[in-house]
Amino acid sequence: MPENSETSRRLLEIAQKTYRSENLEELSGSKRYMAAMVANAMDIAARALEHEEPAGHLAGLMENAGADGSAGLTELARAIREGRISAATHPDLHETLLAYVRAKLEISNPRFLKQRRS
Amino acid sequence: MAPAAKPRTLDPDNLQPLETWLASRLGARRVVLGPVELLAGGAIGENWRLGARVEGGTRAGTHNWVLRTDAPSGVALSHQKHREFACLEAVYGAGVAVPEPIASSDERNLVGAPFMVTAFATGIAQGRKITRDPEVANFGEALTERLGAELAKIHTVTPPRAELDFLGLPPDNPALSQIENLQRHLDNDIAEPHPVLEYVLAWLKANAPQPSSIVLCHSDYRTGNYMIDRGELTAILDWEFAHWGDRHEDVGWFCAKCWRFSADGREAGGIGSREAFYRGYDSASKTPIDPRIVPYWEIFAAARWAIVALLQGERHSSGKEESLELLLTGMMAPEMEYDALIDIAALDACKA
Repeated sequence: MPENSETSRRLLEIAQKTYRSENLEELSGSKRYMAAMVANAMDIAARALEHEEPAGHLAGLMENAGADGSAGLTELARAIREGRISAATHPDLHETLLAYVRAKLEISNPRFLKQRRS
Repeated sequence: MAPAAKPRTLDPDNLQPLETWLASRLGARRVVLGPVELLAGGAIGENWRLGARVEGGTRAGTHNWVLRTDAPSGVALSHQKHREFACLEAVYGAGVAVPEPIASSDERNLVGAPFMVTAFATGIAQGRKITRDPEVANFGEALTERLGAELAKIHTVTPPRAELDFLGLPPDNPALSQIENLQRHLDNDIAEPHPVLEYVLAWLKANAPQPSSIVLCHSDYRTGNYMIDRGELTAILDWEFAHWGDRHEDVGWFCAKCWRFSADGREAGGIGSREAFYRGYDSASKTPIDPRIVPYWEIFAAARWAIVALLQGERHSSGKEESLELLLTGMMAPEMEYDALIDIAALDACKA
């Protein structure tokens, strides 16, 4: 992990711990709601630093769509819209997209994924 | 829903312009407002509770009203308040359980944003509160059946209706027309590309059902958008997305996993059984629900809610309205993408 990312990770970790111990238990009503949102946002940011970039699952498809890097997702979305990439041309399309979504959920809401799998 | 925050529209210390306007609109000698209170909720606009004393005219007496305003930055899919008001009047006339419509205006200089005034409905609307209430085991089935019947009444409003001209011409194929709308939002209103949603929309396009008769769809008919008081329905709210469409769109939206608030076992809105909902609908409709079409519209519901969530997130990301709540709403989109992909695989497996 690059030095900056490691610093960000450590900062977030201690910020999360401090925030939770100082805030959530004592708050009620609207303040508790806001505090829970802030805690959730910090959790998502921390998981984003820990996990691989979800779009990595789409590297092969993006290449087939004719682009990679930052233009890759745009080209892939366009290729799917235009039918150049479909379940007919790429039988593993559905599974690949599902792996990508699972990877996004591991960052944004792993609890949702656990609930759906149970 | 967010709790009440700083008011952005009505000024409680300067109610006179609204009082004068209401008196004129209602044919009253005088309208005196107070107390006024900003209510919690309203992710899009603001909701104010208005006490009102009307002197003279057909509405003379004291009233409890609600004033609902448009947002500072609107959601592209939603109507302005005066249009929502026209839909409300149409369904009120059809006997649907909605708050009585009182008045509306698209002027901004009265309360700072277009608004409408309706009767105040008692009870709670928060989806999570309703689905987690232990009493839902007792009242859930009856409430679900009632909500099915109310939906059937909404669907008795059919085109053409001169007062609903702003809804445009009824679409030849409601599914395809809706998919095109969603694609336009992806193209024009959402900065990031979304290959999963493109895939889901392509599937929906390829599997669109034969068009059925066109009705007025509420288009956000779900737990969270109706009020109950001690388990009884008091009002169906939030008409800002109403449009001409296929009745199964509302049925699919109500039953979709994303609107069960984690109460997945109760397939109708997290409160009751699908059977009760269909039974209620069919008891009040000349045209019964076709259960074979509903799963398609549940996938559509996942795609549409994902795109609406992204539009909410975009309001923050574009700099129009700084809000952590909006940003976090946008980050919910993968949850609906996941549900759509799982349901597509299940339907494809049935066909194979």
